[in-house]
Amino acid sequence: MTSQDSTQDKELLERYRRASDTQPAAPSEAVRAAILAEGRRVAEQRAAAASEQPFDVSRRAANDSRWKITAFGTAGAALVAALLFAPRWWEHGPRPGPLANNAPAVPAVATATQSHTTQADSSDAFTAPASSIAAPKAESRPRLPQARQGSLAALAPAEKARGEEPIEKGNAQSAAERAAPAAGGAPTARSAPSSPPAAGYSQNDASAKSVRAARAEAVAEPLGLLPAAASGDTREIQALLAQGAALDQRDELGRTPLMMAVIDGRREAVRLLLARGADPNAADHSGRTPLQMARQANSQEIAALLEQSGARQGLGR
Amino acid sequence: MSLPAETDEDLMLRFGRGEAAAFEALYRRHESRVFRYLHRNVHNEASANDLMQEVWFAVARGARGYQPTAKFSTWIFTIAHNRMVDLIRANVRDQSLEAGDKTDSQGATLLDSLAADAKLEPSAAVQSQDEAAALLHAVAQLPAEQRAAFLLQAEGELSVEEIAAITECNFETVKSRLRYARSKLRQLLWEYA
Repeated sequence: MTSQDSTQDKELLERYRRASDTQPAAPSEAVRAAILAEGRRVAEQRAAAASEQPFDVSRRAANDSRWKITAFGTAGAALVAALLFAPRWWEHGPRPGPLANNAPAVPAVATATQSHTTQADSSDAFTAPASSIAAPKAESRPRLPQARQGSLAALAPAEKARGEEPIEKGNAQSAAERAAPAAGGAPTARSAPSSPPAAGYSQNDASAKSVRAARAEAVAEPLGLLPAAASGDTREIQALLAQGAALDQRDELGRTPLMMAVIDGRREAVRLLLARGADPNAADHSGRTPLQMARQANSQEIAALLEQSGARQGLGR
Repeated sequence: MSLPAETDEDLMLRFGRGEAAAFEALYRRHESRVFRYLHRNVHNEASANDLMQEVWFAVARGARGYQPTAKFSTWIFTIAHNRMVDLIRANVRDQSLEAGDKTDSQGATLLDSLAADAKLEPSAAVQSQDEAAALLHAVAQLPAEQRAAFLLQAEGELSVEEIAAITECNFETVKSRLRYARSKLRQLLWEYA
């Protein structure tokens, strides 16, 4: 574009604006009055809401205690994970299997060790896997303190001891000493090869643990209804709603899950969200309602669904 | 009172806090421009009034969640444009159903199918012997997409980028529409002169 064109364009715009001013255009008095009345009504509502809430809750307070939410949220997630995990742990018990030598056993060491140091009379079913898991790890670790070694040693022969020689309360170390020769005549580290079956259990347990942890994360994070609605994944939507995901959550443009489903033409998702109570008259930040979006996308069936659910062509909320 | 010196965005935020005066100031500031944009696109006083009411109701009700992330004028013209397209779409659908035509799935193309008002033929403009009226008639003669882009620039004082965002077209398309619109207006004015 040359500077002459630019000048001509500006002149044309100026001529248009002058022409426009010669013919003043204004809405009817009734419309103007209705608009201003609506403005006053909304202002009163906003003022009332502000007086009910004298503090600006959108700003972070100096004594903000969101750390509590974070802390309790994390603890809650851990608790859920534990609740999901514990029944499986107790249900399986020690299980011989061919995968013994391949299993990574780090997490079980800590659990089992802790259990035995505090509670020497634990059931054999529980001590057996712990002993066999503890051994390979002990080989690669630096020397442990005496008490720790004792507790690990007590675990080492447990498989052999299971059903034969229960470990007595308060005598874990001597039980370990007695059992050591049976497991190869060596302390903890050398007892490992003699007890491979429980390692298989450890591997199963590790995978189960990862699955449980993933589920626990999903439980703690019920967001994602917007992408689920956009992709039309009704199972995911149902799952998220079951976890407490809000139907009125919005993205940065003010769009609800229902709008996302409408925009992408996800009829079943729209049906599901409406059935679960999604607001068909909610409007995004530009004031568009799901019905308008459906019509803009030429989605007749979705528009019909919305209308059946009470959607109006007019203004949203 | 410092209302006139405030930006549109400040007024909107004040309105969001419950000040009706801020809304009235905003309305007075934009009433003519928004109404002209609607009226000159739909060529119908009653429809323009209905749209005007819808647009400002949407503004009022949107105050709660309003965030000044973009210019207020861009926001209100986006609402106005969308409402206008919805109305045109509904009209075209009705006409198409009557005529047995098939409507286009693209909103912009539907906008283009809005016929110019028969009362606004060039001859009528020439007969008016009034340059201002002729120019406005010439605007009415533009294809709908070009007219919408031109009016967004002339009435909304929006940039090409903003018009592209509002009409959901790319930058080059809008630039091209504006260029054609200005060229046709110049031609129509030259014919009138």
